[in-house]
Amino acid sequence: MFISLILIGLVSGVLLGLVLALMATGFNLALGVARVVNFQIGAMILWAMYGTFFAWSLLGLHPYLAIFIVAPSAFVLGYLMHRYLVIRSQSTAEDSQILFSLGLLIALQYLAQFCFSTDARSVVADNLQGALQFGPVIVQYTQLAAGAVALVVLAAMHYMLARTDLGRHLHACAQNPVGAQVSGLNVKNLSSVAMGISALCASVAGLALATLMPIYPERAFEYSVMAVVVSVLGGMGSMAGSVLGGLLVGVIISTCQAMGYGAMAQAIVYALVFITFLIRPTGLIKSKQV
Amino acid sequence: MTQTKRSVGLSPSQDGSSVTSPRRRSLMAAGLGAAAFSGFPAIVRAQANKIPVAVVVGLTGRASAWGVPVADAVKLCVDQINSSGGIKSKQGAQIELILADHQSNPQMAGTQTERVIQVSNALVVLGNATSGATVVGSAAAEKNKTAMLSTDAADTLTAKGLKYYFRIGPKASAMATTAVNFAMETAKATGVAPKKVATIADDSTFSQDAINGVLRDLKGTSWALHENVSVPAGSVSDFTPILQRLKLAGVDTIFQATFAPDGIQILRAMKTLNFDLTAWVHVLGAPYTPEFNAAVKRDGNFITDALGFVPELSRKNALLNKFSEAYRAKYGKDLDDQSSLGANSVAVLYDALERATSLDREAIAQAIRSTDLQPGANPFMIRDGVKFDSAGDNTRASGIVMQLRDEQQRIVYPASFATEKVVWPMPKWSAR
Repeated sequence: MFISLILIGLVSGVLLGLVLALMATGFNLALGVARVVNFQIGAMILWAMYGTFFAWSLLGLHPYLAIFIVAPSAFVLGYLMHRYLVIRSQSTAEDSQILFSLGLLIALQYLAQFCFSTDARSVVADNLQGALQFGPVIVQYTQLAAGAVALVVLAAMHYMLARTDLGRHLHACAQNPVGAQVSGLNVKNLSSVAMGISALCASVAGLALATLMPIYPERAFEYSVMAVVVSVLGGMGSMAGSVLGGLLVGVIISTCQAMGYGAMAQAIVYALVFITFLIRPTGLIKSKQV
Repeated sequence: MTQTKRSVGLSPSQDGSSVTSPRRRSLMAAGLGAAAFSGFPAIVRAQANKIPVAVVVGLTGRASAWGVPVADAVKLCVDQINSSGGIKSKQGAQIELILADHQSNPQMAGTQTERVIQVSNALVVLGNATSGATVVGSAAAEKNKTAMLSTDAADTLTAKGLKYYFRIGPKASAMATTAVNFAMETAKATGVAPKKVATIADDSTFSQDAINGVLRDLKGTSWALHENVSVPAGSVSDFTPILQRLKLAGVDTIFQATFAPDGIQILRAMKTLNFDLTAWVHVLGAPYTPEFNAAVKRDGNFITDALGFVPELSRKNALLNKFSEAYRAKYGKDLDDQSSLGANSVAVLYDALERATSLDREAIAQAIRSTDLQPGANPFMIRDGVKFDSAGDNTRASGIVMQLRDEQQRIVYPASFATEKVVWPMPKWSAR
């Protein structure tokens, strides 16, 4: 039974971890390129969850088809929010920027509460209600789909950052914004694009999470904290770090729950973050920017 | 702090209306000056034509699911009292309702309770609807020697020796006893007894009190307790590992106390895992809430829940039915557990204000302490009767058990209230 529980924790943890990695990647991209401490990412995730819920319940769309509405909308919102709102805070002191970001998170959370009430809502797609069984390990279709979609988006992100002109431009902005500006890149626009992509990552994570758990406004803060914790643990500004951090946090949480020590999970994660800060302040994988 | 025993302020004229003479105004000013100089008096008397009463609940945030129904029911009752002539024994004094929102924040519950007492001169506080908030709010009321009528169920509140705290409904452990008694009697009647039992509760004060009550009562059974699972409320992203562990261990009966979001998640994971149970008994928690039912629909069928109220009770209770109709007409929603407790709170308040020897906090608290009301004793006494013990618990509050059937709450226990025969064991997921 011990081995079975470990296996259950590992499988659930990896699938959850991929979604966490996507959140953290979005957070890191905003931090690395746009230099925005993107605490409002939790609110983007929350609004994407509501978007998915209403696309499913009102339009009758399968939650994963809602990605074609939710993700582009999130990109546009993230882009515009940076271009016309967040950018104004960047001329202020760093602590003001952080307060601004936190304020935005709280405002967007309360706006969701005002619009949708505090009731928990659930997306229950009929064809995602089954499960696969591998020996003692049972994996829900919703978990598999969430993990798979997160993996695909992470792979696309990696490809975009490593192999495309846009990726190279984002790298340039992240490594030396002044140099990038001098060499003719529109850093301001690229920062907004980075924020748009960050929001897109958050929206896909939100869409996946909407199929896994009930949606209610207070989730926003929880997800922001989770994105920060995973980023800090994996390595601020590092995509590989985000993935490693996400998988690590996911496996710790799920394994603790499977083994009957769920209450310890958060303590272990935060202890790990604390120890990482002490012995390796850059996180588990040092950033090469983005 | 100086205590003033003299009445300060307005007094009724002979024709019953309130007037203020120049001399009285001078006295009042002097009195208020003295009060301000010496700090707030411990005993503040109301104006004779207004009786300030505060409702301090969560009107926004997660706790609003409990706070709003209480506030709505209290408003409806107070409107009816005021429009029917107010408090007769106090020359028709009107109840002045002060609504305060603690925003689902326990610390704010304390601050707001303090504020309505100190600043708005509330003579009684109805609050704070959820256990975390009430723990803090009741301390503020106690400090100010102001009666708090509470719809909360956490045992902790009446275990602290508070003198001014009065619980209207059954406490969590009493509902836990109802839940376990129901399971024991049903197992005996059907011959299908649980083999291995687990409990699941979140870390809220209410849920922990409820599940501790279950654990205490389970000691009186022959059932094997496998595990007591405790989770942080609303923070577990995936319940499947926990449930797989219980399933692998052969657990066939679960007692649960969680709020709706966790309840929804657990149910969905149970279905996915095809985790079949003999019985799944909740203590209040999720199954009776509209959000749970809207989210799980038919999947919630056959879950049982020990609680104090279901809408079906109004079928047999004309007074309750009448109030339910008025509530629905005003707010467009059904009366629920919290709103019915809110009405019962006003029933106690109404009775106490009529009996109180004067309109000061101590006299009203004393009148509440000596409450002895049977069901239907006044138009707002729509649930059980009320008689408080020395701890502030209502000795007449009782619990029932409902089972979700075709998405409806049907009473299955006790037999005297039952409208449906319980389905036990629960049908397998594959057979539904």
